[in-house]
Amino acid sequence: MKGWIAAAALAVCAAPAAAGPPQVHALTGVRIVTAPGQVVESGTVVLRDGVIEAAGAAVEPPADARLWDREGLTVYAGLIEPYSVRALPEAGDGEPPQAGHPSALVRPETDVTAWAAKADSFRKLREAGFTTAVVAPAGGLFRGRGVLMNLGDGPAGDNLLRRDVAQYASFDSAAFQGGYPSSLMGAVALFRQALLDAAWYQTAQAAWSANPAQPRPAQSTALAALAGVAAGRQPLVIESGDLLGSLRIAGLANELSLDVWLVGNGEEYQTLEPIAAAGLPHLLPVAFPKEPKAPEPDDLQTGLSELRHWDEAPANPARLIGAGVRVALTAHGLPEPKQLHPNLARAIEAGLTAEQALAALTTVPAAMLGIADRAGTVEPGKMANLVVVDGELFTKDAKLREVWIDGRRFELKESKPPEVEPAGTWELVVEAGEGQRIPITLTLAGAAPSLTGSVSAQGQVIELASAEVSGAEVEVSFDGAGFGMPGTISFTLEIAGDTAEGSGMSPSGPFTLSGTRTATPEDAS
Amino acid sequence: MSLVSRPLTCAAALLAALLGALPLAAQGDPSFWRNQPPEQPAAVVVRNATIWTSGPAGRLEGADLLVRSGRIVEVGPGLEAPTGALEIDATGKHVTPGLVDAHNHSAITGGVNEGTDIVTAEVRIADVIDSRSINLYWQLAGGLTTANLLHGSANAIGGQSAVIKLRWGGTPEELLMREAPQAIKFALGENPKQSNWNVDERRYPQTRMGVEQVIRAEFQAALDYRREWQEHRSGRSRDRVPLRRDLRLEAVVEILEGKRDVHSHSYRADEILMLMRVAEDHGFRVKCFQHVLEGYKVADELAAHGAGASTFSDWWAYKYEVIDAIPYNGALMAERGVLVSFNSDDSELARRMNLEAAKAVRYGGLSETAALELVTINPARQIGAGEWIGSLEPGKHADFVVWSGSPLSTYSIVEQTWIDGRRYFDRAHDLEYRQVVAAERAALLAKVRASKEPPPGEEGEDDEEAGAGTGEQPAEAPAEPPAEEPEPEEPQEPPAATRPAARRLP
Amino acid sequence: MKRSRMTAVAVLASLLALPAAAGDTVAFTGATLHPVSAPPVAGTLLVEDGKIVAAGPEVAVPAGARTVELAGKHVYPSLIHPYSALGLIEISSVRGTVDASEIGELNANIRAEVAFHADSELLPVAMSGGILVANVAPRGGLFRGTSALMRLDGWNWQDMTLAAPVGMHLAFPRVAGGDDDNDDNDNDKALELLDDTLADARAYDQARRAAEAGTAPAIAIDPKLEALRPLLAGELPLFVHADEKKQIEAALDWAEEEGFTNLVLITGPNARYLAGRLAEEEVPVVLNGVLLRPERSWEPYDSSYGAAAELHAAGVRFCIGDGGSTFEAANARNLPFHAAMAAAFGLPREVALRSVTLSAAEILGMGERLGSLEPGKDATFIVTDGDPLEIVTRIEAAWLEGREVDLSRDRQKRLYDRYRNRPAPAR
Repeated sequence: MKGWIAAAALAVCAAPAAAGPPQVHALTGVRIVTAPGQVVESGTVVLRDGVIEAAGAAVEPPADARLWDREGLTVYAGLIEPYSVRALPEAGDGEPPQAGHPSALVRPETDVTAWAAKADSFRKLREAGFTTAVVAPAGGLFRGRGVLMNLGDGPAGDNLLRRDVAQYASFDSAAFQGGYPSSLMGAVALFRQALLDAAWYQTAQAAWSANPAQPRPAQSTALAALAGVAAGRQPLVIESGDLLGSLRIAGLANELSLDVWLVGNGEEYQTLEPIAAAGLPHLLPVAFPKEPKAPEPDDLQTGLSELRHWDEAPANPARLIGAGVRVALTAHGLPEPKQLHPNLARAIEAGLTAEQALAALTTVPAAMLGIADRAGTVEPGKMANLVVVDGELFTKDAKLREVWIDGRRFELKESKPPEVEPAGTWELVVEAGEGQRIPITLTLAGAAPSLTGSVSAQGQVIELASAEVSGAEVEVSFDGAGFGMPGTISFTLEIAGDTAEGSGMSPSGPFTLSGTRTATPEDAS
Repeated sequence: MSLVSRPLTCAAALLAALLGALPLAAQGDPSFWRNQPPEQPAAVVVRNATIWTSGPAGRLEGADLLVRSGRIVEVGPGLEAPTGALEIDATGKHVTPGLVDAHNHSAITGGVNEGTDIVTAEVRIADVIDSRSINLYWQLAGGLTTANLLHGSANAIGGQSAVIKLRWGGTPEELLMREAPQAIKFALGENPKQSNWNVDERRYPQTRMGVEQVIRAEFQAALDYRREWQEHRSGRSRDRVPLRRDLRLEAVVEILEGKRDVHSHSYRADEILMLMRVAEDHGFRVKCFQHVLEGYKVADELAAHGAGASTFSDWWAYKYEVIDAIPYNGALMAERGVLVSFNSDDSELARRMNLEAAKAVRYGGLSETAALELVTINPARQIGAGEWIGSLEPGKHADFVVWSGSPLSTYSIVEQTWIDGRRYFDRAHDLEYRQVVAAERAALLAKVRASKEPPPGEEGEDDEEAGAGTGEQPAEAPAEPPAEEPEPEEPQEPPAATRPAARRLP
Repeated sequence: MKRSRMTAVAVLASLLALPAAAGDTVAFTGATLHPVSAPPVAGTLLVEDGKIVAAGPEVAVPAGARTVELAGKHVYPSLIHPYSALGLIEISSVRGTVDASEIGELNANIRAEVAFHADSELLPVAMSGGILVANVAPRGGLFRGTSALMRLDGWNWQDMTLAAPVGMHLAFPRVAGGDDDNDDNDNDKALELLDDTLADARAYDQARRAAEAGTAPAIAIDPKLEALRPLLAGELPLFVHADEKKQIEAALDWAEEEGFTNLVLITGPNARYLAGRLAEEEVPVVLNGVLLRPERSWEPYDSSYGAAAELHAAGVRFCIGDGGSTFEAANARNLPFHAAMAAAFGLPREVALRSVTLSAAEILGMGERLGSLEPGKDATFIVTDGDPLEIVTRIEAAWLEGREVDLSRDRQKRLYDRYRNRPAPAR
């Protein structure tokens, strides 16, 4: 297979991790928010081999640490995104479900791990200060299982923290496929029946195993996958859609004794009492209603409830938390994760405290996800997941400078106005360790700042996930699976006329590359 | 730029100050959904009204109505009220029970029909009550206090219905009238056989003959299911694979065991007779036929079977099976001893059920009190709630309406609507708050406009835009299957003049 | 054993149902007359040759006149439906019975009266509700064609046509970014089509006039453009349909620009937002949709009920229709209850009555013949036991141009009679 050849070719750049630079770092002179509400005005954070070794005012950098002067900056625990939804590729036409549920909307056996790190989603989450995320599958009623990962580059296995974190569900009618159900009440009925079936399935299988001398109940991967949810052992994360959805799901959780986490909808403030009384944890988007269109004074089309909601929605996080609901915030529903910060600034203006916001993005999700012992604060023994900020998080002008994930640094560059147009065909040579040189061809189309294109090596062509121009640089990322390296491969090229050079990171390690432009779009036309 | 933006910024500041006071206004806005019921006075006495009791006492002139803790204590002249009771002078006014609509689809979200399979007995309207629907407030303003929310008529055995009280501001849970028995919707005729819409793939059945067989087959399946469970429960051998529960069949078993009332959409005499015979063959009675526009042709049979009939006052000729519908239907069935009500099946009509009742006087000459009963005690009994609502009698829920004049007069309007001894609608209050609401809306619109202006000192930057997020309103329900029910979910009426009729066939 | 089922109506009808012959004079005595144009009065209505010759307390019954005794009854002019699909539709879900709406955008040459189904079962039912005359309009397209004022009783459309054409109907395009935020550019296309059509029609009209004057050669007749010529000449009123506020404003602006002054606006409750302008510009209005729910959830619950009162208070000339959809043809009989609801919510009762009688006649251009009980007008009236705007009132008899209408033709009454007498089944 070509993929194998490519993999073999690129795999040589996979120098053993131990051969890289030492993974001991000290961030010095930095303001440390060790936990929500706990601040060290100036101190040092020491990271060793992916773990926080020390953090505090009196900490001295160890002798073997690489020093990073971070005076004037603030370091926080890396943010945790509890709900990053990933669309999965469509199942092939006519492909029979493998002992799944008869309804295509019920696919709880889906495992999102293989697709979790796809595209440039990790990079975008990092830009918002996230270092850890739950990736959940999209589409359907029972959507499948989520996976908890750190947001580093490299193979999925290096980043994987926990598989099967929770089961994911939604009553969104957009998934309906023409048959049963066609209505919300039908979807609720199917939900109820599927969970009953899952509970039954466990006892039926057990009974048959104990006594095979009777008709054998059919196997179902779907019902098996729902067992934990049906028994109330595994969290079921459900998109509420709207306020009525929240109330409906709370009722179902109670009726069926489920451990439900609600994905919030922004309308919770309108009826806090029953929401709080239901006691379900919330994954709360910080998405606010679009501003109504510029209305004329005698406008008729903008409804009063729309106006009120627009006006009041930013207070929702504060009100929900104030009502005693356990809330983890999520960037879900935002056009870009980065939007989290200005939106949180609005929420803070409307009553949320910065401390509450930080907790809802660090310690609360860490506890909910069962990783409080290794994430959520800047304390010795925790994963070396940090976000370094010029200014304060959750302000409109917060400048996120870098995140550290498992002790590796990711610089967050602010994109600058494009100074180059890199469209065309680039012949580049990748140099990894031990003198390996691999020729690749990069084809870029479109105009700055965002281009499309592909990269080819050894006859294998892979579409780019992104190609963004900032200043004189273009940052390219794509999925490494086609080259036999599951995970993200990314590199940055500095462009000067028709020459380029830069460096990058693959699941196998860092590399450099350089080359020239051999054709421009004009040549092609 | 700054010349323009400065005054606007001042205006914005003023508005911000004004808006500071607005949450209070919103609290008082009676049409604004909020999770907070009106207070329930310990005692209420309505004085000197013409009281239509819809009970054995009939219509009383110059009478009082005494309510305590949400229940009716007494109706009659010159009642003594406890000290501190809220007194309402109703001199010259009329008081009736809260109106009851035995067929309503107003406050349902995400589709009125699960119109896919021919039997969907497992779906529940109670799961999808839209307690925020403004229709509830509008219907309260027309004196309606209880509605039987029914599944649509796209399938022979549709979904489970839900009786709600129009406790505007409550959660779906709080709207449910717990006392009412469980029920389910059936449908016969053109709708389940898909006569009036285009379908990609035809579904069995396509005839009234097939509809009968579908229902019989489902009853048989339910009997088999029940038998299997009985056998399963009695046999106690170890490690036997348990039976799977089937919520669809369980709902049908409940029908056969008399635990779930059947309300059946129907028009023609033949199908009405058919369902009565099928029910009798299975040992139960149809609780109520809905629409039942040819009920007058088989009124004696309906009376003998014991089925109620909830009909339209005067709709006809919108489809072939209603060509023989007549406005005398209600009066004719009532004369033959059938328990008759008039229903709305329509969010518009549900705002003026009293005037529907008046049509029974015009067509067929029912007495005025008997006519009013078509929208009070009769539908209450049809939905199995006659013990608690539908008439003004001691012990019943204090659900009542104060009218400016006779409830059967087209010139009368609702002044107050009470449920459980709480004033959910008060026209005086509504009128008073219109100014406040209008001011609030104007101020918010101004705030939106102001926020689109660049902040002082910045030229042309629109950073609000960046702060806007997506937060789109949740997607509305998918397009309805082309089943019966007459209107869309949201109050977007087909505009009056220029567009063709967008109404669905009931 | 058979109980007499004859109602007062039937008695009355059997005693008095004599054909109106030419030269026949009939005196209706003993009733309260509601002339609409004047306050109610007890008196005599004198009819000769199908026309009212006198109405009032002092009217002497001429020798030889037939007398119809109506003691305790009330006489009102016929209710007039200003905008209906009666006669063009029978059963909306059965396609073969529906002739209400033509396809295509330019249907100026369509004439409602020619498809008016004289034996529609819907007509006697409407007459039982006191509606003897209706403006029947075609639908479909931008220019929809001309409506016709139809008698609901007769033998065929020719003898049932009271007046045609009543007006040219134009469905004014909805405005992009209008009240309900449709920014679909179909609207702009429709506006363009409207302008182009008008320009074509003017050019065509000019060429035709030149040909007629012999100053230019004859041209081929284009039926659609030909049908627009009376409109351009100001001989035919333009009935503009517009519901949304911005759409109404655009329609009024457009009509002003194009010089259409003989204008009637067929609209809905949004017209209340423009009451001042409509009054100032003296645009007569057919108000449909009094019973519609508010179009927007933030509007007062009674905003449609109260729209007529707002128009009245501003001084707008208007009449009241029903919901306006073809679906409602079967229940055209409920027209007076739309007006009654407007009265319940602020419209003076006498104005409400006028809105379904005299105002309708005037706006339809038939104020000289219909809408009130005045000498010289058609003897087209109803006999009731009370206020026809009250639902509990019964319409007992009806007279169309001096001829009594047989209200027992009503299919619903026939079914009522048949099944009311069904013997109890043997059990």
